[in-house]
Amino acid sequence: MTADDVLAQVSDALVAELGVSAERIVPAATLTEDLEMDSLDRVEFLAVLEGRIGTAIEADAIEQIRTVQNVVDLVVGVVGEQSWPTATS
Amino acid sequence: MSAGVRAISGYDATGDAVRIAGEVDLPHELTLGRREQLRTDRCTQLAAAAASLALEDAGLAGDEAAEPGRVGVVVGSGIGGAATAEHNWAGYFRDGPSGMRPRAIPMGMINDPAAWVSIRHGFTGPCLAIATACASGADAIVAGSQMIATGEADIVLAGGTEAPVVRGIVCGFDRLSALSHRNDDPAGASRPFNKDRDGFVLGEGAALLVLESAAHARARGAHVHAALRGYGRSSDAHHVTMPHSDGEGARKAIDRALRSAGAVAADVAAVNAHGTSTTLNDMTEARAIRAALGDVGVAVTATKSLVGHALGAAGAIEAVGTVQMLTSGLVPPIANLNDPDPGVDLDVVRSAPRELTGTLVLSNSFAFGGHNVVLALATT
Repeated sequence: MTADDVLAQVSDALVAELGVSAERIVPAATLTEDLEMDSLDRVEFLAVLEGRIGTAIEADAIEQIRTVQNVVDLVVGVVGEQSWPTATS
Repeated sequence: MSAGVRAISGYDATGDAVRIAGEVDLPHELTLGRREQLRTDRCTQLAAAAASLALEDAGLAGDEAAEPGRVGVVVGSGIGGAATAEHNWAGYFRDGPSGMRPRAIPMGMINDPAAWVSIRHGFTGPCLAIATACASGADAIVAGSQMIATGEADIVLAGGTEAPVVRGIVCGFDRLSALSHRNDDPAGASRPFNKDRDGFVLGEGAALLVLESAAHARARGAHVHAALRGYGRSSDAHHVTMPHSDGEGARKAIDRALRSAGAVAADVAAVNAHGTSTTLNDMTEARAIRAALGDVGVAVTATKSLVGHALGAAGAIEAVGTVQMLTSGLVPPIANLNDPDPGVDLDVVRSAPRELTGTLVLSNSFAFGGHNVVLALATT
């Protein structure tokens, strides 16, 4: 899966699970300032991503993240070239 | 906004013994944004809507309208975030810890509605939750009035909220044999004091009242609806769900409310009864009202006949209903009261509204746990 596919999935997770407005989600957007995500939003976002990729993400890794692009890079690093699971369950 | 008893739409109740409840349809302007909805239980969303309505009605909707540090918040609830609890426990038992949302605890905690109202409006005075089951809303109003009486706050937003139309809660109350099974007649199911009543109907809702001292209200030119003249409280100290058969605890609370208001039985123009529509409550309450007020021909009505029983919100919803009686000069009839229980020796209001012949009305709230709270509300 390409980085663009991952961005689409990350955006979908932010919109569907955290209620972030789609138009605000661009690669350069910062989670804290631009997307107004608080610490609980980050933890929830992590849980949602883990559920979607079916793999645990290091808590340390998520704390380093500033932007949507950072999230995409992190997910690409975790899932590599494997295909994104289709189900969220 | 509409509220009323109907077939449950909040979840699929097909096949369950109880398939009706009082549900609220919030209009768009009182609905939180999607992001806030995802962060809050419905009980908090209902409280947020009630807070907006109350502040607007009191002329306090603007940012500069009140000194935030002098505004308190007291929100009662019997259960708190029931849907949040059910959803997250289900996830936990299915998937273990990862099946729970990180927000499970803050969304589910019983003080979240109070905290959220405080955060949303920036009120930095005292902020607390009250949990005395079905008396929570009335107890919250007492707590708020005490904050004002002691000078801790100038204004208190006080009341209750409940969102119990959740399968585990509905089934839990049904396991207690407390609920009506009149599924084929939702609007007719809550029938306080009627001979064939068969239990109460769970309802959701929230009500918050803006409380302030008479002097403070006068100074800011507020439109005052009514006065909280006094209150009476007692504990049955008897049984966790059953009241004294003679209504002793409830009678004490009514007596204390009269004393607190500096009134006698003859001053009471009407009673907004707890009137749940259960066999036990209505009979016991009838005895208590009769014992406390005697044969003074006081008109008795019951808000729950219209909206069901919203547990921790009920006392506040009924306080609002009582205030509306005082401002309209009318006592609404008890819905579905077509065949009063002959054992109920009260002047129950039937069929049509009746003129309110006096200035003092009592609002009763009695709870599991034996908590009895009676508010004495009056015209100003």
